[in-house]
Amino acid sequence: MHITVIISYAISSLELIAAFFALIHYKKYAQSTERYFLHFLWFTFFMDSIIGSFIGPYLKINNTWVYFIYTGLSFTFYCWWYYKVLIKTIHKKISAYLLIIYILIFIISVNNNPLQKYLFIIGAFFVLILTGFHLHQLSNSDYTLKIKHKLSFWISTALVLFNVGMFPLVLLSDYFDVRMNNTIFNIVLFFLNLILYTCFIIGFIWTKKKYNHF
Amino acid sequence: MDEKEIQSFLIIFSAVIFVIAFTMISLFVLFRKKKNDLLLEKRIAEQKFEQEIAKAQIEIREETFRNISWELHDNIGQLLTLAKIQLVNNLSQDEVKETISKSIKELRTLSKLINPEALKNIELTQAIQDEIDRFNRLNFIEAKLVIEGDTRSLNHKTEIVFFRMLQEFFSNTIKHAKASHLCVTLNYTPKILIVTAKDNGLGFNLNEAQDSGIGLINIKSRAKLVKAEAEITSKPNEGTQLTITYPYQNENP
Repeated sequence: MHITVIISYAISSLELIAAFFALIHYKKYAQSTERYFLHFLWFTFFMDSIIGSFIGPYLKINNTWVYFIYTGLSFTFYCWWYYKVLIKTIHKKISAYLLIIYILIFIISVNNNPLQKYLFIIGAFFVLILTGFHLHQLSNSDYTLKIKHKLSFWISTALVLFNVGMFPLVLLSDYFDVRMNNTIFNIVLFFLNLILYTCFIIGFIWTKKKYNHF
Repeated sequence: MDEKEIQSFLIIFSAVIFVIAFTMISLFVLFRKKKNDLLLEKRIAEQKFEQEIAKAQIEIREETFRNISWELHDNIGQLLTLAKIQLVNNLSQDEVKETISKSIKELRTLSKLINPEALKNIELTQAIQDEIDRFNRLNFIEAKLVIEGDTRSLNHKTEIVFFRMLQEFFSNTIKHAKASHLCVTLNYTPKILIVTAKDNGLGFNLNEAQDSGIGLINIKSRAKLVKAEAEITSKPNEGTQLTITYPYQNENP
């Protein structure tokens, strides 16, 4: 088996494990907006693994389109979620603008191939801004005392680390011309996914009900 | 992978690792600093709270000493002087006996009141009752205490603060208000405690009250300290009223 196939299975299993942990610990965060992450993680597994890796190749669906739609929807979801959890009016406004701008870019890029390449990096940039706001909000609240029990902290940390790592990966792999379906790109991508889902899983395990009210 | 690919892999991977490690460390440092700041802030606030409680306690004691000296001079002292005069004027032994036993009785009541244990474990209703009994005994003012609802004991520190607030109000009434009646109500509703103290004295105009201003601010800041709310209403020649509302859920665990 080629190494990229193994890596794609490994990423799929990470997604599945994270989705299972989200399901097991659902009671602890059912009251908060983090509850949508349960649906989101199962959606991720479904899109990325079931359709992208298994059904897609059989039905000869173009994988690029599956990932394109998934990328657009996932960053739209993140922006919408931050719009929900951010408290300050200015932060809320910015997140609403970013959400609208992102949806517009998504729609435009359907008929614009070159723009599709940048859909991910633009989304990563937007999400980084919003995670920055959210971590700032958390660091100035009473949650700082027991931050490890706060699920939204772990989600934001996961997103920051994943997206911040995505920048050098995408930029440098363009520079060395090793983008997509390349072993190097996939190994590093797996590493980033490992960090992302590990943070999610730690968050689901460590979180406590009384810390997830909004 | 050929050598060129391995090289680019190493560069990309180390760049990614570097960026992630840098972000992790920054986050860790930021949150630890914020946590320490918050802890420090909380500790300072706690210390201030304890200081305020201690201050209220000291003031209660000072007031008690003042009352003792007052009572010794005005009440027991007067009775003994009377006994002496009766003796000098060769009045009947029975009359002198009666005067002296009256002063002994007053002395006993006083000594019961200033027992240090009673001062330490102030219980709100009992403390107010003692204060009111004293006013009635010394004929300063006609006072009464009304308790509505089921009495429940609050946090000891909260009770100290409430008692001190009321004491401040009483001493204002006696010193300045020239009132003839004082009524204190403790209303224990299911969710909040409402304490009202009302006199029928001179009162004052709230907007012009410069002298009592400090006292009022004091009472209000004390209320804030234990998360209660104090309101003072007064009208010239109609009397003054102090209302303290305290939701039980504000009680510190």
